[in-house]
Amino acid sequence: MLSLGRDVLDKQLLDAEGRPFGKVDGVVLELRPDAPPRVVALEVGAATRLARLPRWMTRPLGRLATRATATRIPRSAVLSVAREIRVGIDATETPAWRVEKWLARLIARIPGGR
Amino acid sequence: MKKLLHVALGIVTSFGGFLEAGSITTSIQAGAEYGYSLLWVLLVGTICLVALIEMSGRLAAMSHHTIAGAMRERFGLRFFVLPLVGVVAVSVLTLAAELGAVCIALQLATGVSFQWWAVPVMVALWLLLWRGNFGVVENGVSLLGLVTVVFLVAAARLHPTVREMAAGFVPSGAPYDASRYWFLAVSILGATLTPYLFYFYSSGAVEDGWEPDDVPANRFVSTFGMGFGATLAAAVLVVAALVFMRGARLESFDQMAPMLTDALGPWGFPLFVAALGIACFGAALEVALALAYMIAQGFGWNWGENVRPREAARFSVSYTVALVLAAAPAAIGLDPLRLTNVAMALNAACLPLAVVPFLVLMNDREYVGDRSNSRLGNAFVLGVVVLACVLAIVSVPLDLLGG
Repeated sequence: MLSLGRDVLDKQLLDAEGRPFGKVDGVVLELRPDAPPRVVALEVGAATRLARLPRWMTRPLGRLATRATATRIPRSAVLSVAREIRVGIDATETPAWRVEKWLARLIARIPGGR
Repeated sequence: MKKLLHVALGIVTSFGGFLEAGSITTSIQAGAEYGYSLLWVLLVGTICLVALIEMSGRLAAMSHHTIAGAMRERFGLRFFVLPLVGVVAVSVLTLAAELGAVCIALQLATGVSFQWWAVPVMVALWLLLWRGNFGVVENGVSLLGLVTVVFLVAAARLHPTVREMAAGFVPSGAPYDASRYWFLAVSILGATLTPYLFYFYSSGAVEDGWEPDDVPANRFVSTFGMGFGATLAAAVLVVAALVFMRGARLESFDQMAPMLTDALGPWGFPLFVAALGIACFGAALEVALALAYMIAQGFGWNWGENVRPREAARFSVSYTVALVLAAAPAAIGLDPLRLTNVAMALNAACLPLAVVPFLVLMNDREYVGDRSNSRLGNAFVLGVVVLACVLAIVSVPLDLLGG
């Protein structure tokens, strides 16, 4: 038995290589007519985070907020749930890594950044 | 044997790293204006600090979580953003105060105005963090920080009356000018209990991989490291009480700089400058890193004291941005002393936000198992941080109006 709020949401995500992938920002549920809801994916990304915050906090971000993305990790990719949640995908290939990638490229140009 | 060395290093570095812009200036102001009568506030603040540092080490040892990481997990994003924004904001101000004080030390040493030093000091701090190996740098700076022992030496050479000093440790009200007295009391609490300290400590403990059997050693290091460190702040206050005319309101570092001359002669001035510069430089390194830690841990990014910038780009950019922001006030000529006063008072005002959720974690068996807080520990820490916050909200506007 897992409690989504306690054991899944806001937990640390690690990718297939053990890289810190972010926190679980959201849990995607599928509502079914004659059965209890089912978890289909986890979400990580600024878009999901912004949706969880009250509007007065996110409003000042203006148009910047519309550029935020979220990455869905299908339930089938989840390998284990313990203190951290391990998933079998490569974080660097997802939109959640966009900012990190962009900054890393920038840093590579600065002497000593390597 | 290795463990013993570790414990010894922990104590020596927290001793050498204890003093920073806030604790130096508030102790000097308190001593000059009110003699020994604010010593008791320093004592209360130190006991509370020891408790908080011990807790953050215990949280790390029992749960392998940092404070920021555990807070995000336990309370969710919606709540977590409040302490995150609050602590990051006051820590940037604290960083600006430390950086400004380093610039002042350089001004005192060279005669070149502090404004010109803001960018070079920022670059030096940034380079040390950027090139990695922070563990080595930090221990090195903390060892250099042992120069702050000069305050203890000076206090001893001035032969303070023990009975008068002891009386200062008994809580008392203001002898005169109550709003200023309580403003200084708040500044002392804010300078002693800066939130970055315990957030930083838990990060180090997680990086070092502490286990539940490290809990006793942690208790020892936090008590003695911080306890010894606080004697330095007390020594600063005592020296100031003895050398400045009672009630003198010091409005600049220039007035503070000669304080060691009575006790140490011609060595007094250079030693004061060195102590101020090194202590604040070390503190600035820690605050910059603590800030970036907190952000990275809250969002689940890669972080660490020895990670290369390219492997943790968002983390490295966080401390870079913090340093640039923090260099701005000194660069445009804002008085570092005034900035320090404001930063310390705001640290105090923000304490409940930083500490109350942390206390909840320390009583949650999911995180600390059977090593949760004692009732006395909870009550004492809660009492001090709420008192500090209330005093800050009441006395800061009064002091600003009066001054």
